[in-house]
Amino acid sequence: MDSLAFGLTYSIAGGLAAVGLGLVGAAAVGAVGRNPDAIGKIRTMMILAMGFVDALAIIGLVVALIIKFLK
Amino acid sequence: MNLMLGEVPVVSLPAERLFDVGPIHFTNSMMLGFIGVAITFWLFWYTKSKIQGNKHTRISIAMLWMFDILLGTAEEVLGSRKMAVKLAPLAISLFFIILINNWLELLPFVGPITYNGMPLFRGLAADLNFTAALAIITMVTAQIWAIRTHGFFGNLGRYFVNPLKDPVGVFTGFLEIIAEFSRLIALAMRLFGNIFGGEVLLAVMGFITVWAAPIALPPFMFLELFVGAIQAYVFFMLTVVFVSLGTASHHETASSDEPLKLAGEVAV
Repeated sequence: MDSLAFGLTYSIAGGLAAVGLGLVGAAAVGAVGRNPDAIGKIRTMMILAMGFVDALAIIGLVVALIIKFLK
Repeated sequence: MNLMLGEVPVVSLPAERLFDVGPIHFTNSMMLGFIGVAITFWLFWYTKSKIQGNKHTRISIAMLWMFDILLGTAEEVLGSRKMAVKLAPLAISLFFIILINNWLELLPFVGPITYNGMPLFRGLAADLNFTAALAIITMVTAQIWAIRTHGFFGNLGRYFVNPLKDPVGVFTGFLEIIAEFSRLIALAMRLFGNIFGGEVLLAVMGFITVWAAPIALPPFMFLELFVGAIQAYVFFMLTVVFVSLGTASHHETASSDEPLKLAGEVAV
């Protein structure tokens, strides 16, 4: 049961974060396509937004590890 | 986090308590934290002495370059150079302390050296106490700046709205209170989760790729270097953004009045 909880906790958080990362990346690529000169600013903002999305996936990983290792 | 080959990695969520001096508990996160903060202070003093002597070295130029980029970002968000310079001592020090501690925990002496069966060093940000303290400092600073800008009751007016004047404002004000607390928790959990998750990731990767670890680990080490820098930047950015949210004019009516008044002036 704990293994199932571990797997589901991380896979749901990771899967949804992957969707979010895809949206961020697609929006950034689209923006660069429209306005190639602004690539420097867009890259910074894209990495910042990816940091926010990643944080949720990693909090999911930590919660999953708590389930797995701390009883 | 013990990185012994072939042993199942031991994950300990809280930082382990090494020894007590009087009422203060010294944990292994604090041991690395002292080193990291000492390095940060040395870097700042070194840069300062190089600027005063007008003899720049590579380190001082790199520090100045980083400082300039961060100050420019803060200026862009806050809207004025004066405010950016006033906030810089907090926000940019936070950036460097988090960055140096995040990078320090990737060095090989973190983990294998043990004391009473516990690792002597552990990443500073892999301890929730540290990140929660930073988050509280950030949110209290944001409140102090908001009080300084709007006055004490003006700041309370952001959260408590007269229901007779603005029925919808009551609800948004209530949401604003919840948002402040969720920001606090998210700020602490984001940094802690990333750094702690990174440590666990490295330990697990070292464990599952037993003899191939020297080949398998470097990409993850680079990932952790990157994540550490990004998280330090994110923390800096959020500090600046929260302060700017507090100092910006918040009344919908007030902000929509301003352009109208300007337009009127231009017409006159």
